Amino acid sequence: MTNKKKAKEKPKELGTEKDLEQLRESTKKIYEAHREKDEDDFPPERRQEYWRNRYFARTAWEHAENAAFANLVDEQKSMLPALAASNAKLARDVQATTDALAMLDLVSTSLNVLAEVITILGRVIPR
Amino acid sequence: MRVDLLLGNSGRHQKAMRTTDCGANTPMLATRSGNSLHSGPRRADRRGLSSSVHLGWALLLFIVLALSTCATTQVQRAAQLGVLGKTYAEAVTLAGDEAMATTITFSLAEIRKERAGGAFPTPEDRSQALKNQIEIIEQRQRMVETSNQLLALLAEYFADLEQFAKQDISTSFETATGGLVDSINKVGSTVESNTQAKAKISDAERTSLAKLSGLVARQVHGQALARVLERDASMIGTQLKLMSKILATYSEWIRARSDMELKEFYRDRVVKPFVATGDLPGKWEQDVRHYLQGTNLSAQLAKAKAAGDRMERFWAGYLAGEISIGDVVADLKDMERLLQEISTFNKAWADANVSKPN
Repeated sequence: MTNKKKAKEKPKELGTEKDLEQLRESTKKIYEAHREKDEDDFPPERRQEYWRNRYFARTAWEHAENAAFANLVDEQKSMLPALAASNAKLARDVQATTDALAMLDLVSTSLNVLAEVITILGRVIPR
Repeated sequence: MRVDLLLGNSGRHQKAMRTTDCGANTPMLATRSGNSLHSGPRRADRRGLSSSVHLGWALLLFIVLALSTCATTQVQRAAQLGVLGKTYAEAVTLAGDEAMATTITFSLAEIRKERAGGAFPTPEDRSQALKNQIEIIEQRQRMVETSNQLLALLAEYFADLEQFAKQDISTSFETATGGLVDSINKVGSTVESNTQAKAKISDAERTSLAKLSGLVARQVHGQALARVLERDASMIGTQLKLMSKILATYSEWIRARSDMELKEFYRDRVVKPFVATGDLPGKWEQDVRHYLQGTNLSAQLAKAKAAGDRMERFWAGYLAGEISIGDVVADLKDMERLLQEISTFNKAWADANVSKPN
């Protein structure tokens, strides 16, 4: 069985938050270990190798940081529907307050109109 | 139109208020109205009336105090939480921008050193290395942007919550109720021309009714806010925890790079020139000062991480009444100040590196 087939059969397992944090920390430690070495301590023929290793260690650390952060952003995205629903409900609550005030104002205005109508009727209808 | 939230549910709250310390306004309102709407010759016993009026005012005062206390707490809580959420989202966004700027500066400075050191011997290697670097940065930039967009939505929620809490609903209700009473009076006056009907609400009673309705409205408002907080507690808690994790990530991006650069700076610019024979470079003292300033900032960033941990536990602590919102807002303000300092320091760092003899 080829590696390609194996990959197809086995579903991808995503790293947990803890796994990704551990990966980030271990790659960081490796990179720090490279940085702690002084270039001047290497013989000239090995300096190129030092910088190459240091480059690989740095990019591995940066990839691990991205992977851990991607996990957080995915978590943020997964909460978007709940957040949108809360936003909508809150907007409705604010609107309901405005509506309640408007209704009380409407009742007040209606009673004013009724008062005017009664006044007019009092003038028109003979006693 | 959903007026039930305030009007419909107000019945439920008034019912509850009758059995708790937060109310009992309705019976009081009925008594006052009942006595006053039919004032006139029937009021024979002045002394009895006077004592009942005093009792009524005393009860009204009690209701006023009880309602004010109950509602104010809820309104303040919601308003404070709104401020906290907004401050949090702003601090995280600011930290994201700073962290992104720091990582770009760091990566580019490093790839420059790696290139100079011979890490990419052929043009193909250099081309590939640059391509990989840009991809890493672009991916990170996209994620920070997405995260910021989602944070903006969360900030909107908290801004709405604050706005809802700060809506001065009681004044509007007082005005509207005053208008309503005026209208009733106007109808009464009009009907009064008919000698059979005499209905009038005095100015003092009008004011009391309007104020009472304002207080009832404030109480209903407070209850509505309490319901919002209860309904969204889980969402708020999860989002605050997530924000603290994102903030911790950004702080870590900045701190890790700052520490690495400082270590190297200390070795190359402070120790090496000093242990070497001959005169020290002219800028040596300045470099030492720069290093000390950097370590101080780094220590502060470590403290900020502790604040971040506190924030992660904030919601549970807040619900348990152990942590105040004020403390967390102060932590966030400190974090924002620190980020500003780091930004300034990084600019100075870039200047120092430009002047570094190669």
